[in-house]
Amino acid sequence: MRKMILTTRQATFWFTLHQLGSALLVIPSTLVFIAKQDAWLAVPVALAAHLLLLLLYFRIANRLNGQTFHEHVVSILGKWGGGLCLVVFVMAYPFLTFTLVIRDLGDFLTGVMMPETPSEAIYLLMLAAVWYVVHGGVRTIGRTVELLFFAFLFLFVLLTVSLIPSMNMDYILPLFENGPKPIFLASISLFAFPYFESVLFLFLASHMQYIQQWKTVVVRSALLSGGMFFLVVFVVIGVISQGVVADVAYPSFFVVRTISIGGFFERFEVIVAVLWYITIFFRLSLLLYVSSYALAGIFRLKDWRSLLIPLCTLGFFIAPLTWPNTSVQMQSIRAWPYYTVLFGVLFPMVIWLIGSFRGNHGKK
Amino acid sequence: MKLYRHSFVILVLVMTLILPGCWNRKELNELGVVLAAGIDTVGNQYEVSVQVVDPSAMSKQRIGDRSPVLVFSERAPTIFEALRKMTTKSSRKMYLSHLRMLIMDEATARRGIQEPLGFWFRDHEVRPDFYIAVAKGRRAKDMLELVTPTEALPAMDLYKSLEVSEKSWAPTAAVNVRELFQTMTLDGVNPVLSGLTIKGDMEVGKQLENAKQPLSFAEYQFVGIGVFREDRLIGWLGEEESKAYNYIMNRVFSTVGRVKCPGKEGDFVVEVTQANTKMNPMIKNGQPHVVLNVFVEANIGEVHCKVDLRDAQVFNAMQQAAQDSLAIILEAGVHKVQKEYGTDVYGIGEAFHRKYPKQWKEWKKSWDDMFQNDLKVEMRFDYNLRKLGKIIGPLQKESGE
Amino acid sequence: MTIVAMIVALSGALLEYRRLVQNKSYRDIIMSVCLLASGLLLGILQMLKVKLPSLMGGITTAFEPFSKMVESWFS
Repeated sequence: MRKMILTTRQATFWFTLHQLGSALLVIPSTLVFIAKQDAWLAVPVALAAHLLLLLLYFRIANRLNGQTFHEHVVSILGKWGGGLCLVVFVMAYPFLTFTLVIRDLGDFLTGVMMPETPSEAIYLLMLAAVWYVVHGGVRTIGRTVELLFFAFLFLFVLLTVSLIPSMNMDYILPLFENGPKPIFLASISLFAFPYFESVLFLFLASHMQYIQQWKTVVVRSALLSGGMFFLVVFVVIGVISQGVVADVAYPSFFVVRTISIGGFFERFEVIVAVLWYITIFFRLSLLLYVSSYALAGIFRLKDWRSLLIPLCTLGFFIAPLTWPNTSVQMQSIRAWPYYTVLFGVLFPMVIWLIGSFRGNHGKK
Repeated sequence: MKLYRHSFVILVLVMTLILPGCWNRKELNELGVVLAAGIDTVGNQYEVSVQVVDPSAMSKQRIGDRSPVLVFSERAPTIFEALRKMTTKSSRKMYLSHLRMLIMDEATARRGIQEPLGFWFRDHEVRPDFYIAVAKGRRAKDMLELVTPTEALPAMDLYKSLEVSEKSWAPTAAVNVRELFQTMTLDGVNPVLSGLTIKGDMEVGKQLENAKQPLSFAEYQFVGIGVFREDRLIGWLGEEESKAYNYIMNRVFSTVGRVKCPGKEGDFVVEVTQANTKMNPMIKNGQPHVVLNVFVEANIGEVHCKVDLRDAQVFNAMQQAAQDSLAIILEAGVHKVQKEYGTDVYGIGEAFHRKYPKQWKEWKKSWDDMFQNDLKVEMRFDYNLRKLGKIIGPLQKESGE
Repeated sequence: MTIVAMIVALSGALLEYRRLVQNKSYRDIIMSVCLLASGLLLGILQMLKVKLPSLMGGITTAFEPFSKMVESWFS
């Protein structure tokens, strides 16, 4: 089973798409609501904070020595303690996020494109595709991502390039109108979602040939997705001004609908919607893979694949329970970062501290 | 193992048959494609009218005398209700994605446009790329009922006319929904909408007869710009004032302007090929002060007076005259907006916001008042006449004088 | 719709279990059945229109004080 190896390129693409998925759709609105026209400045701030946090993850990765992350946790916290922690972690973080993303996808599609389609149909189709690719294993995902990343890139370039002509730099000004505080506050949102989720990449560290490779991949994908967030937020503010961005639910989709170049290059928002499909697909696949792989590891199952269908089913039925209406969702976006701090910062911190303590102890 | 694989693939395939299906299927022959919509206020209800294309009426074998578009209208307290209520009158569901024009009557515009427009932003079907206009002195429903000669689809006629006219005739302002949305959400700028009216005999204009002879009985015309405060229409700008608005907003692509000949009887006409205005806000003695740098490049298009265009001095005098006449237009336009209406449609407040964010915080609350009373507008011109066109002099005998 | 999903999940799972039984991975089956059962249970509850608490609502109430606190620092 250890022969599940990702190449650097595959991993970079996969991680990047994971970070972009669904965040690309929701984040601009959240950031702009807090930081107004300065929202784009929040992206580099969040990215810098993330790179600092990565140092912590790297310390942990250095200790893995070919172990998987969950084996490492169990070796530190003991069989029962570690196991319990991990189960809670997996169910409350990657798996919960998995259901949230399914829900997000359903809300988006039924909200702005196909309001009469029941979201269950959308969940079911997406889950079937995700199940299929994850069932194939890491290498299948890796190859799929290699193929689809370029489709994604093409659409992304199409999106940004066709928006640039309608940008108005006046909307970016004035800089620092309300001082740096709102920028930092906004950057917390982005830092937490999606960047705290990089902790999940630790579970995949054992799928890389060398830990050094894994480190470059994580940094690279952070820079890549950060650059894309930056571009999208900047362009979106420049095109429709901060007042409108904060007021529409999916600004990056809304903005595509306004494109009309030369009277014929217009109305292709559905094509661009494929972009979000691709990112959300890989986001879901990573979350599902990590959940089932880690759970299978904890319970010492023979094959992590046996958990895919149950997890998908559970996700399918939890998705309608996540929030009863959009207002609750909007409200939860503000509390979400402080919930995820537990998993993105606190948990790895504890692992690292206890690990250092135990490690020193062991040497004595 | 193999059986398992295969059966699952089959299962997935079966799922694709049932699932993606055609939940939201909309066949073309079940839809009425809405190209234009109108909102009138009747009492305390909205009367919503839609102009719907019958796709089959657009095909080649269309039945002779039927109108290619139909107008439905319905009254209700809200827009959405009215739209849905229309299904009681039409066999087709209104499909809003291809909306090109939204027209409101003056009463609606004066009552506030934010509420009736909310629906068009919220609904998932509507694309934010249509134009909005106010029917000046007419009902919006009338505007939709007019049979236009140039295009079979009246909405397309309006839409194209607005686009062409904005590019080549300065007094027209084409405002699309995105721009309106932006000006409504920013503090330091108030919205405008273009005015639309009908000239001629409306009763005949509503009949197919209107398009059956070269000269139509009734025709639409874009006239002037409606000025808003917040979301309420408060007045109209005439042709010259609308022109001033577009110059200041840097929205003049090309236009023509009539200028009195310097020292002679008669006029000449300049064709503006390039116009560019920079708004430069500053604070003088604690008061807002804005400098408009207007750069214009124009050619001579028509001459109605006897001048020697070969003479550089004469030419310079004409250039000066053109500049002066533009200055008069702009000043009159600004004066009207500033002193009479007192609403900042130019976005000068937004310019201060960008340059002096701190000062703006103090001014924001009382900006309307400051705009009206304290703001000084200074204009600087750089007017360049360049070319004469295909001929040189006015057509006349050399020994004319 | 919910029923279709349940049938798909069940039939998929049953096919999976045949393989797992052949491989004698009983631990896998137990784990899988537990998860699947809880998933289906949730589905049935939803079909019966039982009011279930919203997950994010809970998280929001629990963590809103923190977000309020941090927001007050930054404003």
